[in-house]
Amino acid sequence: MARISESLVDECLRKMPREFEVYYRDGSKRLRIGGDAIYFGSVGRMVRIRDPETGEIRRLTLQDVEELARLADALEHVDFFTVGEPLDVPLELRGLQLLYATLRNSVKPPIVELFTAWEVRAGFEMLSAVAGGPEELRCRPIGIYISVLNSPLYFDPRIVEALIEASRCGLPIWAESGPIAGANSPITLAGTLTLNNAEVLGALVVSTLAGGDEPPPFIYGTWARSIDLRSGDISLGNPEFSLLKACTAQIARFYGLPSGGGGIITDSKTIDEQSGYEKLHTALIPALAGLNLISGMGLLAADAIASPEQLIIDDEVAALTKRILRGLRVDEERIALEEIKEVRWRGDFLGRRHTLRYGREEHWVPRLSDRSRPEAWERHGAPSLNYKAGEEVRRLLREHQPKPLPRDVEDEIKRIMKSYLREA
Amino acid sequence: MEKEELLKRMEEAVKAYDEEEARRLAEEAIRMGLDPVEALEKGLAKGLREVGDRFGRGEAFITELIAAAQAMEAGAEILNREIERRGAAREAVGRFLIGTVEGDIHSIGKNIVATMLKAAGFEVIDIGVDVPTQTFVEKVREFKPDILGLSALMTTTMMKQKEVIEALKEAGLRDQVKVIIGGAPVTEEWAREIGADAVGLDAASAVEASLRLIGAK
Ligand code: B12
Repeated sequence: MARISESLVDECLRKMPREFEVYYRDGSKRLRIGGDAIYFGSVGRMVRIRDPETGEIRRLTLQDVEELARLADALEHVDFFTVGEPLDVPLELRGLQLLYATLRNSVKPPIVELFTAWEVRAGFEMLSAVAGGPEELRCRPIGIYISVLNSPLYFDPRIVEALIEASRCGLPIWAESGPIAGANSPITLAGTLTLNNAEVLGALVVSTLAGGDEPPPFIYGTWARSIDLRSGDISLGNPEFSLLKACTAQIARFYGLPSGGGGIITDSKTIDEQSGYEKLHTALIPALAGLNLISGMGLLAADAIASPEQLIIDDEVAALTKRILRGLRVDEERIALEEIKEVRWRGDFLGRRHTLRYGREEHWVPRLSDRSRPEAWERHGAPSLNYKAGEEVRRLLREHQPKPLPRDVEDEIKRIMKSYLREA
Repeated sequence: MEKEELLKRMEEAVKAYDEEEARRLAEEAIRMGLDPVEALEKGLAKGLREVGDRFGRGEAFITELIAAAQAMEAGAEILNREIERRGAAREAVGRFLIGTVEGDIHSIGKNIVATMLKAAGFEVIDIGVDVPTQTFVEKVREFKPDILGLSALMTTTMMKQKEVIEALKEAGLRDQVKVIIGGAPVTEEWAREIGADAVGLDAASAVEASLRLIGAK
């Protein structure tokens, strides 16, 4: 049993930045994590995938990991992505292989989910190789380490060791706990937030102390969820999930920490109406509350099944959420009184310069959502969203080539994995 | 109090999740000289079965099922002492030993299965989580269960289910106990591969399969 004093927590909080930056590995973009910035993506080591060709749910392989990463690379609104447990890879190598496959197929920052200190060390070396050295990686991080805490209040030695190692390496830390209201956490939402808070602040102290003079930045994380009262199964697509995320974002802001957690998520096992409305509210509500990293893109059955088509659809959900967040500007030009006066009654605005100018700025254009008239829709074969997402998966996999890693970096990564395997 | 009324009240106590009342009525039953086995089966267990059925239909919540199981156990503890004292045998459907394998601390699914089995009339011995393979073997030897249930929630710990079955074989115990496996990553295929007798994909199918195994014994 360990107790942590309030003053120690305060001291650690004082060392933490409110915001920090993470870079795409090719420098093409940087994420400013904290403040009002909202990013969408995904992290998780699920073992199953909904096959985009057959719709069948089957075991996930390394090829799936590569393809999912490649799709994530191609999609505009995916900002971080590390998904899938490649079951055709030997057990000891799966975590590192997932990281390697992600780095190869996407320039976007991976979320490093590795469970032992050994693995973390090797993962850090891999990222250093890509970033051009450990110091470069520290100054311009190209990935984030995620630490998964065990509720209630249990700090598994293995997990703490891995967290300490990652903090020493200087990787930004995203510590999350996922208390399940009614199972390993109080059934009440306030109780679950309290438990989540204690666990994450505990991890903050561990990470800050391990980081020494220059502790890494810290993201306040949460996957707080609840049991379905009728079965005891775990549910994430429910309204309480969104509320919990919104509250956590506020709590994190109170402490002056960036936040991140589950969202854009569904309990549905397939792409259907349920996945539609659950994905939307779990994206929109946390985003409106200011949860900086929202993770769940491309997943079904909470986080148990990966789905390439769902990833395409989630890109759309993320895009429309971001549009709502952007809000609107109100000024003289936009109030458009002159326009209204000029066009007068019975005129139309379609051919106006004003329309040309502000159309793109204010109006979101979907990639997939159908807005056509019924006759036109029928003429095109009445395609479903699901069908169009499938076509898009095939097109992107055919056409999109991710920026490759330099040859020598690839060699270095392979060497690191080999030597890790020898020592493991 | 009449016997019928007492049995009815026991049933109601379980359905009202009232541990105190279940305990009090169990003592009352003993004072009245009632057959403790009958008091258990037709009173307390009947209440739990009913909550179990309602749970199965999606009407009762898991929280209510667990509370009912706790009320039943509170009363059963007293009745079981009396049963032992009289040397009578309780007619449980069967004895079920359950635990989560070594390296794995996931307990929620296992606990639900254990509760549902109790509701179905099994005597359930739960030996917890992160249970070493050898402990399973020792407990099988000690308790002589009809069925051993092995829970594993991770692809990394599934291997332990195989290990336990091998260890049972080595200890010469495999033919004395049926083995049923469960947990999210577990499949029919895996059960066949490692020579388990059955697999429970959720609580309902776990009970169904267990009853089938008992029938086959
Ligand atoms: C809750 C949970 C936790 C909780 C557990 C709390 C507790 N007291 O149990 C906590 C947070 C502690 C936890 C920790 C970890 N977890 Co966890 N966890 C889960 C989660 C979200 C739900 C499991 C659950 O309770 N489900 C609800 C119940 C009702 O369902 P169930 O367990 O499947 O049980 C049903 C059936 O399977 C069956 N059944 C179950 N047991 C038995 C037994 C018998 C005999 C029978 C017949 C039937 C049967 O009937 C049950 C009732 O319907 C799963 C995700 C998932 N989708 O499964 C991950 C998951 C299992 N965890 C995972 C991981 C990786 C971990 C950690 C390593 C994470 C970490 N980095 O710390 C640690 C491991 C700790 C350890 N050493 O075991 C992974 C495993 C991945 C893999 N490779 O297989 C999963 C799949 C999540 C994921 N997608 O990454 N976890």
